[in-house]
Amino acid sequence: MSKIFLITWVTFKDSIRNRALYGIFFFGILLFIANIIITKMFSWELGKVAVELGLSVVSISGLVIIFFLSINTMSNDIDKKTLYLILSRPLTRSQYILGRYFGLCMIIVLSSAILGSCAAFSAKLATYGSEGYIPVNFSWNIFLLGLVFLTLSLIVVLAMALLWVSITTHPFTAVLLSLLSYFIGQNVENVKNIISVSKMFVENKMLLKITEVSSWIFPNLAAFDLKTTAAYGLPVNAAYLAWIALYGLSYIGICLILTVLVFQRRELA
Amino acid sequence: MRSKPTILLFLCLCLFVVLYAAGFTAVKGARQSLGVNYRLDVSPLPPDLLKIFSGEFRGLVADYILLEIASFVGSNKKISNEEWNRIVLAFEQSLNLDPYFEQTYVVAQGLLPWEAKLPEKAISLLDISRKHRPWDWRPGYYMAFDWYYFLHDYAKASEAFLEAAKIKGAPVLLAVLGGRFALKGGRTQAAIVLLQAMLNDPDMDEYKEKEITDRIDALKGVMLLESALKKFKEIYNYLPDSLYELIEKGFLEQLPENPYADRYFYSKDDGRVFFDTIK
Repeated sequence: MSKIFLITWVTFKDSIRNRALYGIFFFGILLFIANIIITKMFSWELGKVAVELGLSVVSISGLVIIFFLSINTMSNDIDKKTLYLILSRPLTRSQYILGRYFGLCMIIVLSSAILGSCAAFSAKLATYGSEGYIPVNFSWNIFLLGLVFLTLSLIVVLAMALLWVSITTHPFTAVLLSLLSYFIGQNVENVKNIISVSKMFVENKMLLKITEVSSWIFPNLAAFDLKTTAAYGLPVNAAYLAWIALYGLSYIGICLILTVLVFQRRELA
Repeated sequence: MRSKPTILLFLCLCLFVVLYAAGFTAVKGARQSLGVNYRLDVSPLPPDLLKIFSGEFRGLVADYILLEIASFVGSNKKISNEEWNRIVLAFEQSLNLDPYFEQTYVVAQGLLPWEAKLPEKAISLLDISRKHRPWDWRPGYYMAFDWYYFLHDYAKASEAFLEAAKIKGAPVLLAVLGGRFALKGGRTQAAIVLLQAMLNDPDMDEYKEKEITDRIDALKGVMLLESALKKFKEIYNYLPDSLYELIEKGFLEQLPENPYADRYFYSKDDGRVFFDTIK
């Protein structure tokens, strides 16, 4: 356990030192300034625009961290042979994978916490003096819930990305496959719904089967998306949220186990 | 002493800055006459497909589409029928991506029935907002207004007014208007039932309660009189000259009380009874 924690801490410190991370934070801050300007372009429910834009920025920044920073960190270990140095120590491959994953998770959580605070601050600032134009049921508790589930969806995508890194031999392929999986995950439910009701596809049993299988393989990322719920303060069901959390955590577990299994069999020399 | 290449580079930079300034001024001047936005930059994709492409950022895409519509309409350009159809599609896309946003239905109501003369389209868009915003009485109210004002369908107007009136915080005027249009649209009985159900709200204030009770009494009075008139016609095969004839011929013991006036108003031409003279 202490070895996993050690790798986690090293990964976290390495990523903090990475200048790309500062670029992402700078990008986030710029977008929050834009949030204030864009929100003022609307006349009704300004709070909705501010919250949705703010949380979208948290999500975009998190995705940039995953696709560019996290995948690179893992791929560089293999490409630059740093991995040999790490694995020459009394450390198993599974401990390395788990350590790296938790370290990168810490970066995502930190990014969500900082950018989430900025999102809340910019939403407050953007709606200052326009309190009557905030959706009637808006609540900061649901905003926080939205942020938590957004972070959970990011760490699900991270687990999926690590699996692709372990399977592929090139970081570009890993980024491409992770992006594709993210896109499928965001839309699999929607596509499945359209196909099952559309007259054009309803006869195509093969397509229905493919979407059904895809919905089991790829995570339903739309389920974690509570941006609209947070923006309007729509009612939330605790049991439903608990199921989503369980769904997400179990998907992470499956991805990590598969990553460890693939990585243990991988020829590194 | 600076080297030659540095001076050359500096001169090139100066040249490009001058060219850029000239180009910028020319482009700015040329585009100024085009107005705020001279074309609607919204993709013609079906709403469901756009939802797929928007992914988790569908709320932002919905906001962007709304800004595009506002900017296009605000350019004061004469909008053709084809362009109005594209605007309707843009509203559909925006509502499909975010069916909760207040601005979408407010802008749609402000534009489609009035400017584009498309009240049916406005009603179908408002219906999406109404279903997704059960706490908001205004989408239903706008629908009712469109049914009444643009389409002259009093039965549907009444139904929409009374539905909107049931929402907490809705002005009592909606219930009262619902009752009025029910009478015009021939669904008085249904309106009475709905208005009576509204009286069960324990949070209802005295003013609202009185307004609704008065409207129920007025509608009941109209129903009673119209029913007596119907029986009168069945027996005599003509309509009476005045409502008092109903008492004289034994159809009623007395005329019901009208909470809004000293009597009910009767039209002998069609046998209709009204509680006021507003058409």
